[in-house]
Amino acid sequence: MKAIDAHNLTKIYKGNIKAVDNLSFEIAEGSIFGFLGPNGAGKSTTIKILITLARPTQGTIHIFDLDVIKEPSKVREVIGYVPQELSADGALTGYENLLLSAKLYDISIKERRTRIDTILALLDLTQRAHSLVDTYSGGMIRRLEIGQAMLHHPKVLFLDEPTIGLDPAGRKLVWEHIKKLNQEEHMTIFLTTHYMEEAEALCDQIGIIDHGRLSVVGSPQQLKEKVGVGTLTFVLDPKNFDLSTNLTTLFSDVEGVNISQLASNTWQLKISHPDIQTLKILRSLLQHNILISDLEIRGPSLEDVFLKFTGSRFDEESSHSEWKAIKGRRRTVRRVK
Amino acid sequence: MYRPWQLIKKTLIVFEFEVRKLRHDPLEVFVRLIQPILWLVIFGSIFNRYRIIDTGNMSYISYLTPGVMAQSLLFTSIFYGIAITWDKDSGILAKLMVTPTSRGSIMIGKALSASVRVLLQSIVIVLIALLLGVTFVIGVVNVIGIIIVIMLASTCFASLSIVFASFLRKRERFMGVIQLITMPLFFASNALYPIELMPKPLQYVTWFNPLYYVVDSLRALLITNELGSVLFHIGVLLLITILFVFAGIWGLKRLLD
Repeated sequence: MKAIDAHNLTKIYKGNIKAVDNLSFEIAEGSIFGFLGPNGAGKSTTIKILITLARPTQGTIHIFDLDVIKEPSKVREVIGYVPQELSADGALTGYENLLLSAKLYDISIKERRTRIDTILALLDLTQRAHSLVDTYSGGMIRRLEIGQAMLHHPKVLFLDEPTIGLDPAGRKLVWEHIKKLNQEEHMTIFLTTHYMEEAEALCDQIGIIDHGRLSVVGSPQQLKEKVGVGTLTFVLDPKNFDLSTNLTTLFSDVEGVNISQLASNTWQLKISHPDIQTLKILRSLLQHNILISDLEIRGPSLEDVFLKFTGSRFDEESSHSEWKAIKGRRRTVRRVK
Repeated sequence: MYRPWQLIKKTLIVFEFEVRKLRHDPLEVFVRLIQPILWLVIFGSIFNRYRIIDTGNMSYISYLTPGVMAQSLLFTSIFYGIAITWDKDSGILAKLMVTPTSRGSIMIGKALSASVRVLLQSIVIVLIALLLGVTFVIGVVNVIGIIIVIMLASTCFASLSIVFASFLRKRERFMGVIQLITMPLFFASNALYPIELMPKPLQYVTWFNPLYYVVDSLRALLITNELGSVLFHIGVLLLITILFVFAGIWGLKRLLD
C-alpha cells in the first residue's frame, strides 16, 4: 500500500505566490523518505499540507487511503509530527509532555502508563522524566518530541529537520532512534533535512524540491549516478614520462570514464563507480609504465546531486543561525512571562 | 463528525495542562498582582480618605475593589495572546493542532485557564481589601456568580487577545497594541468611578465595553447585593464571550496558515 500519495499539489498564497507547484509523489509503506531543498523551496508548505495544517489550492493527497483534505481528523489519528523548532513545552516536565500527547490521542488510562514508561526507557529519558523540559539539552528535547509523536503508534511520522542544531553525538542518537522506529515498528517516515549526510544515513528515497517543484526522486545511489560522477585526479611524474603523450585512449577498456587534461602534467577522470573503476585505472597506468607523483579520488556526493538539481548552495549556515535565534527567543520569553 | 463529548474532553485536557504549567511556576501569578495592589492600597486609600469621588453611601475603597479585580482580570487574560504567539513560534501550537483535537478545544481550554490565574489573584485582592476595611456580601449564590463572571470574562478577553495576536503576529507589536487597548477599556468603564460622572458621549461608549458588565456584576455580587441586573449583565457577557471565542478559533487557524 502507498503510505502517501500526492497528486498535482499546488499552493498559492496571497499575492499570487506559488509556494508549491504541481507536486506529485508517492511514498511506499515502511520507507524513509527525505525531502531536500534550499530555504524557501516549498518544503515547509508541503509538510503543512500533508499534516492537515494547510489546504492546498489544488490537488489531492491520501495518507493510507485517507483523504487528507476531506477527512483531516481521521488523518490526524494515524500521523505523528515533530516540528522543526524545539517544541516540547518547557514549562511542563518530560513526563507531562508525554501525558498530554497520550491524552490528546485518546490512549486509554490502562495503556498510558506502560506506553509512557516504555518510551522514556527507549529514549533514555527515564532519569529526567520529572524535570522541567526547560532544563533539558537540545538532544533530549528532540528525543522527547519524537517520543510524543510516536506514542500513539502512528503509521506515518513526519519529522521537520529532525537534527537541526544538535551536536554530533545528539544527532547520531536521534538517527539511531529514527532507524529503529522504521525497522522495528515498520513506521513510514517522511523527513525534511538540510544535511546531506543525514539524508544519506537515513533515507531510502530522496526527493529534491526547488521552486515548489520536485526536481528529482530516487535512492541516494540512484541520484549520485544521475550526477554521474566522482573524480580521479592524478599528477604525472615528469622525470619518467613524456608529457606530450596523449592519454585519452589509455582507459578505453574501463567503462564509463571520461578523461580531460587540467594542466600539462595533471589529468582528471570523471568516474561513476569509484570503488570498481579506481583499481582498473591504476592497473592500466602500471601496465603502461606511467608513474604518478600524486593522486586524489573524490566520490560523487549528494551535495553534487543537490547542486545539480537546485543550482544553489546548501545553506546550512543560515538555517543554523535561524535555529539559534529561535532558541534564544525561547529562553527570553520564559524569563519575560 | 461533530462529537460534543470529544470537544468537552479535549478542552478539559488542554485546560488541565495549562493549569499544570501554572503550578510549576506560580510566582508569575503573584507578580501580576503588584499593580492591582498598588491601585487598591495607595490610590484607593487616598481617594477614600478625602472622599474625592462621590460613590453614594458606599466607601470609595469598597467601590474600587471590584474595579481593581476587573482590572487584574483584564490585564492578565489579555496577555494570553502573547502566550499563543509564543506557542506558534515554538511549534507547540502546530504540534497541538496535528493531534486529533478540535480548534475549539484548544482555543477554549487555553482561554479558560486564564480564569484560574484570575481567580487566584481575586482571592488575594479580597484578602487585602478585608484588611483595608471593606465588608463583602457572603452567600453561595454570590460566590457562584462571581466565579461565573470571572470565567466568562477571562475567556472573553483571552479570546479577544488571540484574535489580535493573529493579526499582529510579532510579540513586540502585540505588546504595544495591547497597551493601547487595555487602558481605554479600563478608563472608559465604571472600575474607578461611576459612569454618571463621565461626559455624556463617553457614557454611551461604556455600553459597548465588556468591562463595564464585568465590573457592574462583580460590584453587585461582592458589595451591594443588588442582584436585579446581574443576570442580564451575565447574559450580555455570555453573548460577547461566545462571539469572541468563535473569532478566536478563526484567529487560531489564521495564525498558522
